[in-house]
Amino acid sequence: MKYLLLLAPCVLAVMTPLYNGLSPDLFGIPLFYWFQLLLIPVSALAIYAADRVGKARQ
Amino acid sequence: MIDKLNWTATIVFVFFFALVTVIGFMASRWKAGDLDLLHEWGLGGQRFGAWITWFLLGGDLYTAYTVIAIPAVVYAIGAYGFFAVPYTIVIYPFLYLTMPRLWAVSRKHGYITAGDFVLGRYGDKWLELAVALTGILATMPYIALQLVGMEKVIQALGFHGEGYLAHLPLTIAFVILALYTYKSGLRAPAMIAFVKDIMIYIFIIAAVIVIPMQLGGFGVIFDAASKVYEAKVAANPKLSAGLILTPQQIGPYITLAIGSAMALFMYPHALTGTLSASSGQAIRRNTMTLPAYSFVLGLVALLGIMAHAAGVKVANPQDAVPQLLLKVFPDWFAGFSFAAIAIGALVPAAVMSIGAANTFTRNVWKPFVNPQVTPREESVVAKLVSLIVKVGALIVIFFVPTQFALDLQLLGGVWMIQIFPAMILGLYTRWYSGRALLVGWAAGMILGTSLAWGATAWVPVHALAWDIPLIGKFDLGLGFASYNGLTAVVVNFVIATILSAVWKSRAVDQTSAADFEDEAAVANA
Repeated sequence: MKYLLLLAPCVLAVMTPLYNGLSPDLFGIPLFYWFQLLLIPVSALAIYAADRVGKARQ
Repeated sequence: MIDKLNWTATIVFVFFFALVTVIGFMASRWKAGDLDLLHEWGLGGQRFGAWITWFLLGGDLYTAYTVIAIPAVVYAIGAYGFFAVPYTIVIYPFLYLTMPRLWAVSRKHGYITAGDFVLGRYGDKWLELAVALTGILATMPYIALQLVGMEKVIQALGFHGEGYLAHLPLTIAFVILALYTYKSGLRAPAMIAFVKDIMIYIFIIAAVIVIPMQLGGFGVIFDAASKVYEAKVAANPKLSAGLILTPQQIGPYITLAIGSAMALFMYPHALTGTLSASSGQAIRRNTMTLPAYSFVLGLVALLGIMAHAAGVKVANPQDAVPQLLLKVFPDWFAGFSFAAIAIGALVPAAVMSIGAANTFTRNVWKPFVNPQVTPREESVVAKLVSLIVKVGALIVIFFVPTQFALDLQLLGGVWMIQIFPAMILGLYTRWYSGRALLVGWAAGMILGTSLAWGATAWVPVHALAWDIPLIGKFDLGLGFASYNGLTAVVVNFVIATILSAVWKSRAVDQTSAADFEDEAAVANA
């Protein structure tokens, strides 16, 4: 689980064809840009969750 | 020379720059240690907790690269420059897993550089030398990028000259950097990183709120930029530019992101920042909070798009952000922003030259020149090398032609990534032999450099197809181009693996499996 949480944001980040488009847009920002920007806090949360999962197992 | 000077912006710029420099010099007294000792000058005595490490790492990872080089590519060709965002996303989960291991083994055995670790792990001093020289070489184009960033904002203040004075902005940038690192070592940048980050955050937040409001919202901005890219492509059909990637840009985009991430923490300065942390847990906590910088990086990249909507037209894309700021902000705030950018280039350039200098002293001078080196002589050599590395950066600017300042950093990455197999595999296994890794490294360096050597300028990506003399056309048939660093490191890895299967290493391994576990990892096991 810990490794899955760490791997997921990385895989999403490099699956470029998935988000290489203009719509849907968010506040006028095309998909390509908002998707990647949003993925940043998501990845930080995933690392935090991975850390908690690792600690909970002791 | 100064008749077109923007006085308001210049006075504000000089004020903040001077303020920060004074703090830097005062820093030599902070958490005082003996600065004539390398460990004190170069690692701040390894007393930095999670907070200072956050500022220090953020400071050297997000630099003129972020504020000048990346928006320049976005300005020139659009979506492609955004690869820096997936790059900085990929890096933190990877750091979370690997760097606490490197920290723990380094603390246990007193390693302060990549070369120290490689020597301890593989017992091969030639591999140590290769790793050390790679770090020093790769640092030079990266520092060159910082100097270009400082030069661009000094030019934007209105400093222009003819003849030999044409290089005046670059000369000013260089002299400030050199003087200031020499005096107080790693403490100066750590202290300043704090002030600098606050300044950068102020200017970015103002920029991403004020500029879209002035220009009429993000919808208008992206529409305007889209038209500019369309016009560019209409004028030059060979150009790939636009708000999203063209199909042939996708391969380079992904490989640049992955390759840049693999190279980043191999740099001496990034390792310096990591190893100066006070615990493995301080590093883990940083991997959760450092993405805040990535978010800022993404917003700054958008400045390249906003520049089009604001009607900024510059011949050199590296001028896009400074000109945008002059256009939308009052002069005093432009001056403040330029000071933030210049300091944001100065701090990492200082940390990079210190990292390279530590490496030279520990892994080249001591083992190969004077094994009986005294601590004081060590510190003198390190300070001198930090100057030499900066001169090397100047030489790179004058003699390495590139289309974008970004290509300097990518060229450094092509070399730096070649120590990835030795370092990262070494954190988990000793199956690989030092000699095999050395041959893999040499192959990767030669291949990467030759791929980067373009007809008119150094290029970061190359199609996976070659015309090899005597052998003929060789095509992997993948149909896309790849970052040279990543292509070369794959070859490096394959060669090291094959040779390790044949040559078993009998050299001494200083480390044991338990040395790689820090306290938190042990507690969680």
